[in-house]
Amino acid sequence: MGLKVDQLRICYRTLRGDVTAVDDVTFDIADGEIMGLAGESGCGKSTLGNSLIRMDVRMRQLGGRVELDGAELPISDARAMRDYRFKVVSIIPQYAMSALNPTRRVGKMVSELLRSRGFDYKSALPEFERRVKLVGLDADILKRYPIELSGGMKQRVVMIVSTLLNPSLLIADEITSALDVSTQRAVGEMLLEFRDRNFVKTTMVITHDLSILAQVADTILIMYAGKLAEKARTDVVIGSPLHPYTQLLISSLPEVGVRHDEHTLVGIPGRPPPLLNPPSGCRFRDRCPFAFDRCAADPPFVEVQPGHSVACWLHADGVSPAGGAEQC
Amino acid sequence: MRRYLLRKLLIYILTFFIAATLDWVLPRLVPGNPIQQLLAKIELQPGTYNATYKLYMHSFGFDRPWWDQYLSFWKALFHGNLGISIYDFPKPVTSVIADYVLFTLALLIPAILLAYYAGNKVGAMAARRKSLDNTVLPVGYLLTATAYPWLALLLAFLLAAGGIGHFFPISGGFAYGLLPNWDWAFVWSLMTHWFLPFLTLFLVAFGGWAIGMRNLIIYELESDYTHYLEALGAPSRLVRKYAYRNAMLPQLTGLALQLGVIVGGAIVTEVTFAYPGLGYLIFQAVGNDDYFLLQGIFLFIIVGVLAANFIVDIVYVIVDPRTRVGISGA
Amino acid sequence: MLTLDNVTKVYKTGTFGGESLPAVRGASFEIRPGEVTSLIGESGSGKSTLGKMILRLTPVTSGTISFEGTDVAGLKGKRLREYYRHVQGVFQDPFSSYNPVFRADRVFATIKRSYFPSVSNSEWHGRVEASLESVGLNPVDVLDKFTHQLSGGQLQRILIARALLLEIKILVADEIISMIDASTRVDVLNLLANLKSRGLGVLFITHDLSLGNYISERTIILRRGVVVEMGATQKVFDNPQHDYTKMLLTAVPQLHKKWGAGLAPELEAMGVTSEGEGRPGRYSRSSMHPLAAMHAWKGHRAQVVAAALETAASADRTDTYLRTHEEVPPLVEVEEDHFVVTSAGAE
Repeated sequence: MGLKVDQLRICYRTLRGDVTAVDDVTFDIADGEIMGLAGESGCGKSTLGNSLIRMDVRMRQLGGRVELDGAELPISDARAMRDYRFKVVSIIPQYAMSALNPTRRVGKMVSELLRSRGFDYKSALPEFERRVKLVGLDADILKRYPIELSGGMKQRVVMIVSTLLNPSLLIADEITSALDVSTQRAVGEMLLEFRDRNFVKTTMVITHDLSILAQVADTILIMYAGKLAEKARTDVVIGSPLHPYTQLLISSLPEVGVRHDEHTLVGIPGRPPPLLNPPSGCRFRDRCPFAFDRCAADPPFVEVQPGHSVACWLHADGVSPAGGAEQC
Repeated sequence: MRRYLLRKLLIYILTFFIAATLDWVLPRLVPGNPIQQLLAKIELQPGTYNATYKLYMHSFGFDRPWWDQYLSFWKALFHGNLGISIYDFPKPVTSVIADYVLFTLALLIPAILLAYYAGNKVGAMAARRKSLDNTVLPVGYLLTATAYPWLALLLAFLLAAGGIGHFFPISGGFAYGLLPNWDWAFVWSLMTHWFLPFLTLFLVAFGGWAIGMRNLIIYELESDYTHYLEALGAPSRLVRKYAYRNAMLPQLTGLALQLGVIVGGAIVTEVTFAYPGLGYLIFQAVGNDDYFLLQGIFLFIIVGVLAANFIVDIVYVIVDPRTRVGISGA
Repeated sequence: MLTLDNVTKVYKTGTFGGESLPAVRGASFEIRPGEVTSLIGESGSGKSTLGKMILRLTPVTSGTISFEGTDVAGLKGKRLREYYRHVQGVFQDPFSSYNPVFRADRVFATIKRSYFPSVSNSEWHGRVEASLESVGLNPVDVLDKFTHQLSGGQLQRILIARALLLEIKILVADEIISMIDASTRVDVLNLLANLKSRGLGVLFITHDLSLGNYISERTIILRRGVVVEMGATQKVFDNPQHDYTKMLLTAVPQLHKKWGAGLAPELEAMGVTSEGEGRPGRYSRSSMHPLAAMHAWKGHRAQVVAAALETAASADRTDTYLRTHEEVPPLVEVEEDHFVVTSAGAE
């Protein structure tokens, strides 16, 4: 069960041509698992997340298949997807601060939303109020307008609303990037709490911030230029990553305790390749310090250890991971 | 809330004071004076002109210093006395205005409300239907950019002067031969004379509202709360309802801002059609240097526009929770 | 050296400016040459307002900002231009600092026109290239390019290179890396850290403690416009005194340390306990995904959520000056070069 994404390809139509933002992506998330999806801006992580709930008009599915709870999720059929949204697949958007209609009281908006989807607000209300209290809010926020709530309160309200119908898949899209550290922490803890209480079955946390994922995710999937780079358990990705991109990314993150004078970190030189006409072979080749002749071919995304997959020729066919983990 | 309304009221009173003062000053800056105009109408005994002129100047108070005239203007105003008309001498200004004001109100109120209603509806429809939008957008821009007198002339030519037909009378408030009494012939005559000036005002305003609403709805449909609703599978019925309601708020502000413009449009339209409303009366008052009548009409318009604005302000507070919250929080 | 003495900024809001909103209250600190000073605060702390006041983009309400002994508030015309020759700022959004219609290197031409009109073009060109190289850019890569052809990191470095052409002594860097991708962030940070070896004083404004910790010698913690703790970075981070600093340190997400560890004592110190109703019965640990067990830890998480969010409120209970217009208590020195506001933690 859970979520299974198989060889998914999503392209974006732009004025200059089609951009394959999600290229041959295969992964799954088990029930009860929180998977982090990380990468730099433009790597396709948000496209992947959005494609699972709501494709916008510029997006097109080129191939692949998505399965949720054992049944196919018709992601490219907007009409059929409407029925899945909120009930089966839900999202906490990046813009939680402005996600609530400013001219409707919170409770009124939720009741109109629920009714429009064929649910009875009255019978859902006790559970809604219970969850409102669970995240430390007072039940009277339902009578308030969004403008009367602080940023942190709005964030919490949106998180409860999105998960109210106990969706099978929850997509959390960059929900911490605009927040203060204390609120970031609260939001992270809420994601865990929602999972522990079975409010959601599978969760996908999309972010560019690996340290948040280190706190909340069970597994981490790293994307680079539209393709999968590495996937493993969180402690493995953070502690002993195999893909050079992951290694360099982690080694470039300053942490409390690391000081420039004692230990100067280095970034990754160069920029991700344009997705309009991506280069052949490994897309990280130009920036990779370990690149060698085999990288001219596209590396397969293969499982090198149980639960640890990587797309790198250094680890493709039993080649010993020389200079792998210890490099970072 | 009360504090907010009181503050608003204070601002309106201040505005009224300034506007009324300007209203008193501006006619007096026009060269010439009303007594000359008045005396030109009367046949005077030869050699008595200067004496009569002095007498009239004195009785109208024009020989007193300006500040004294200004003070007595306010004094009289509080007694509801706007002075004597020179154009329609010696009728009081208030009763001259009363003769004409109903025509203007009958023109303005339906034109403003219907254009606002229809413009909003059509604009909202255009925002979600591309095929309709392709028509509404250019037509709307054309209408809202049209000058009132130009459209008035065009309509008069097409519908009254035989461009297409002679469906409507070309000028006046009712046919010359009729006497005002409430029989069918008179009412019918009123309606046919009313229609073209009304249509002019309606069309120009309609274009503006339709364009405004279309743009606002498109903006609302691209906003975050809309995307959130759609991501949670809300049917487009609910999404549109929210977008329409939220787009109405800036339109309401627009209505308050546009009131003055529409009244201005009504003045030139009435002149074009020789429609016996306040606009036409202004035209006559200017021609006769009639300070008191001009002052009276403008004062009437100022009060009307301010009152309408005040109503819009109150309605806005009722429909937009954000202002209410801001008020109680302040 | 730039010194702030009891600097206060009050914004007037409401109709006719009836309400006053203090953004910064009684801030006193200095930016020393050859050091990076981190100004750390959350949204609404007034950190950006402080940066703007130093750059004379908004006037101070009271107190003085002095540069090399001169009060900068009164500078005008030529003397103000002279001030900007020495004090420059770089801001969060690199794209908004450029005009997208022109090539990015136009920012150099504007500097030349105002400050170096007599320098010959060829010599100027040499200086620009040297400055670009000193910030780690290859002039060929960035000259003659439009903004959309360059990355955020490159644009920020061009702005720093531009400031360096001016013999600057103080650089105010306001959240300059928050819009840059993770892989190139650290390079811009390293660049800032390297500037101090040239004798520059850098004010690094950020909400991210780990970044401040990485590059700065001195740290200032700002909360609701009040400096609650400041001192040598190592001392502030290793031995935080104010509850708010402690809270920030426990909340910052880290790669190798879980949130759960070490939070409880701080929360208890603030009067928040993690006892409460037990976990709901319909859920049992065995039904959890095996990976979920990794995260399970003692206590009721929802309570922690609420606690973390309400820490702010709890800090306000002890520090009444934060929510009232009371006088801000003075900072006291708890150890050498480590100060904390008196009413909390210190006693």
